[in-house]
Amino acid sequence: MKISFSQEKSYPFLLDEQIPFLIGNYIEDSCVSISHLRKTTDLLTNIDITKVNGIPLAKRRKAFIRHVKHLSEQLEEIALDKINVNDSILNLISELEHLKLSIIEKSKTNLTPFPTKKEKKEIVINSLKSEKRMQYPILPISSINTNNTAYFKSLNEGKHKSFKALQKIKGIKSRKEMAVIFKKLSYTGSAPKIRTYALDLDDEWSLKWGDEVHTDVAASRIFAAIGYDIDHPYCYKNGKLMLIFDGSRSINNWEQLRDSIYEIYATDLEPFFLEEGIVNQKMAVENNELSCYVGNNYVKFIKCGIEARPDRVKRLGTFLPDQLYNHKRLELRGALLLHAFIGNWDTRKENTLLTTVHDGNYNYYVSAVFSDLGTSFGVSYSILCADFKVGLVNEFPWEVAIKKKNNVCLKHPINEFPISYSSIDYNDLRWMAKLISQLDSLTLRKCLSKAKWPYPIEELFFNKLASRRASIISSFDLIDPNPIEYDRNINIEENGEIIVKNGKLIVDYKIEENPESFISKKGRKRNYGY
Amino acid sequence: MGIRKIFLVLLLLPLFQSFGQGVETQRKFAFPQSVTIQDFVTNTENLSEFKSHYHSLNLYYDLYLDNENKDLYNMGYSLRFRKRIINDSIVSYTFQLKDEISFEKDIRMEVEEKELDFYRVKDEGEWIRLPDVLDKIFNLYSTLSSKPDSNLFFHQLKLIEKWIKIKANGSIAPFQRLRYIDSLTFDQNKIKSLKPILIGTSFRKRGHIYVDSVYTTAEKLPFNRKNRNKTPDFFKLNTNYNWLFESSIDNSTFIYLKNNKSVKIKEYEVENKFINAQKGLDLLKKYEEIMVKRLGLHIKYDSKYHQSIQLLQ
Repeated sequence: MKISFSQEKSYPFLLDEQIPFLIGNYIEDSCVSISHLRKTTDLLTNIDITKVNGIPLAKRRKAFIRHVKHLSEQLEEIALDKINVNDSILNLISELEHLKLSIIEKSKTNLTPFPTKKEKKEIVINSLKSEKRMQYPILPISSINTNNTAYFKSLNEGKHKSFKALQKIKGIKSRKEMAVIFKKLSYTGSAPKIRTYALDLDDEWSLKWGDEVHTDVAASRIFAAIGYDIDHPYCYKNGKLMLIFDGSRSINNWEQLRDSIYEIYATDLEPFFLEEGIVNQKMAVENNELSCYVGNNYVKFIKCGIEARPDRVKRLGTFLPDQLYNHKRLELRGALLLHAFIGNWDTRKENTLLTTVHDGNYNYYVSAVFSDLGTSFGVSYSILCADFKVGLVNEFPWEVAIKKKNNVCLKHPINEFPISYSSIDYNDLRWMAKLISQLDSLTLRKCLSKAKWPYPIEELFFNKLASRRASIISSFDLIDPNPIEYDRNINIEENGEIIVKNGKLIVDYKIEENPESFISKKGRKRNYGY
Repeated sequence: MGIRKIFLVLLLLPLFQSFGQGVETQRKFAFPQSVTIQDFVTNTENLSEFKSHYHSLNLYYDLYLDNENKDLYNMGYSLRFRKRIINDSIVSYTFQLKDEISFEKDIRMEVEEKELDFYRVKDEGEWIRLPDVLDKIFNLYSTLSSKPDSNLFFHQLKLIEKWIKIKANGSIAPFQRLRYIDSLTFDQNKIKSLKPILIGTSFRKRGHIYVDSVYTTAEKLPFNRKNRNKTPDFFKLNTNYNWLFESSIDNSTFIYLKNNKSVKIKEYEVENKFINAQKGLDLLKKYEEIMVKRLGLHIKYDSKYHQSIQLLQ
């Protein structure tokens, strides 16, 4: 059977390269095959199917099942009507296949939640060899572009507002002061975190401590400003976030929390502690939502981060950068330069997500998310000491791209090279360089200010980001549409004390307020320890 | 309950529990003939520490499916389409598979296809929404009362049969579960043989059963806090009340489509809604004792479907 299509229209999932695969697996006599379709749909929606190829299947939430059923029902009617397949039908099948493969990948990841010895070795090798691998011969310029897909949405204006726009779509309700309810301990990841509920118990929040509470916020906002979907992290300081223990969980007070976190993550939360107490009537009068929790223990922190897990968004597995020809997507290939721009080290595919988003009216769409971008803005990793730390402003170089002979070289280590990053060329990077050049001073300032770094640190990061941006623009011979001034020898003084000298942070700035430290390279060994 | 059934329940129980859905813990009581519904409401409003707040009057239309041999009935299952009309305003449709409870088994399996709006069936070249087909069936049933024999009525039933035949091997939750329970007994051909056999209506008075904060503290019970969508308005307004169960007083009529015989069933059901399943079960047992001792109610186990077929076939 020969079917040929021309992709004149843009589709969220379908790529030309996928067509033979989809036709081979879902199409019979130019029509959708119900039996093939049902094999996939049953795997994704039948809660009695608990294994795939001997591996326990990842949890499929109700909303996900509903989404798959919506999708498959459209395709079943197409099959029953014996409609000849076209691009739009193939796109629906491609979406279904993405959902299936993402769940299967998630199931595999669940088997080994922590990197194996072999993977840790690869992380080291990739980090060490990054600079050598990231040299790109300059090619004749081709004006490639991408349409809007599930992976990327182009933004024309209001780039600094895109994070908030996504927040609104997902129904995320962040406030200046937050109160959350302890749900359960977490056992994954390298930085300490727990799972909590919002007061209305509708949405969940992941509560975190440590070196990523600033970096994750700035990094996610910069990715959003370019056009990518992201996680929604927020930084809370000076007790603006209250963690309440409702008395019915395994952990019911601050001491138990501190000890459990130490046991799991080998991290002492004591330096992050601000105060503990009991929710009282006065607090309930000021915030009516607390009235259910009068008499319960609470704790507040000097500094912490929370990341939204809204009810409307269901997280699946990786967004499959190495499968279904997704490495051919310009928007994924070009993302390497954006990782380099913010200095993100952890580019493993586990840090990408496919999500189904409920628009609030029983309609669903799928969105690819760049997750866990916090390992950025100055990363220190030590092979000998098996240590790892992020957000170290002095480790964040002033330049990220340089033009050397006939190459553009990226000076940035990453710990994994998905096919999309290992197969890119100059023009892929140039496409992203153009997008980065469109980030103006206001956008960068807004993204950084939400991270709530202390003023000298924020200012130093701003100057460094502006300088890195300039290095990208000049390496790709672009005209800067929004030149941003920066000073590589910036000096910042506070109350007579020199904090930043010649573009370098020289004091461990207000360590009581910033227990993670912006200078000390002592980090965490969990997950990345060798 | 046969050994085969007990084995199946033991096999499936951990699965149901691990999913945290697809099961319900409930008690059924035969409603005394001598008591009016209004008297029963008054009697149950304040029973020792258990208080009842009756909040809505619902109307349910049910269309039960089985095959000629009544395989579902014989194996202790019931499969129905249900249309709910809540307080004369909110309408919803669902497709449910349930099993029977018994003296030995507190937990009842409940597998639901909760949203039927996007399912359609083709009638003379035109796609028709499944809820529209069900609406026609239930409307005709209401107007034709105890003798639903119009051609239109039976044509709509045929459309339901058609939908079942097409979806027998599809991703419809009750069919998925039937195939899983026993792929030989309930292979897709057996599922294809299912058709509407019983239709009926139930007027259901629904209530929340709760205890107050004094009892909650004295008994060291956790507060049953659920998210906004799952918390009834009554408990949003009365935060000192601790929600334990949902109750319903059912006044139902069913017609066996084969012979047009009808049966009336009046019963009281209580379903555990407490956050802690085991504590909820203990409280349910306590409530059950009060209902039996003080109000003289009798516990019963058979579902409405089981009772109807027993009486009508």
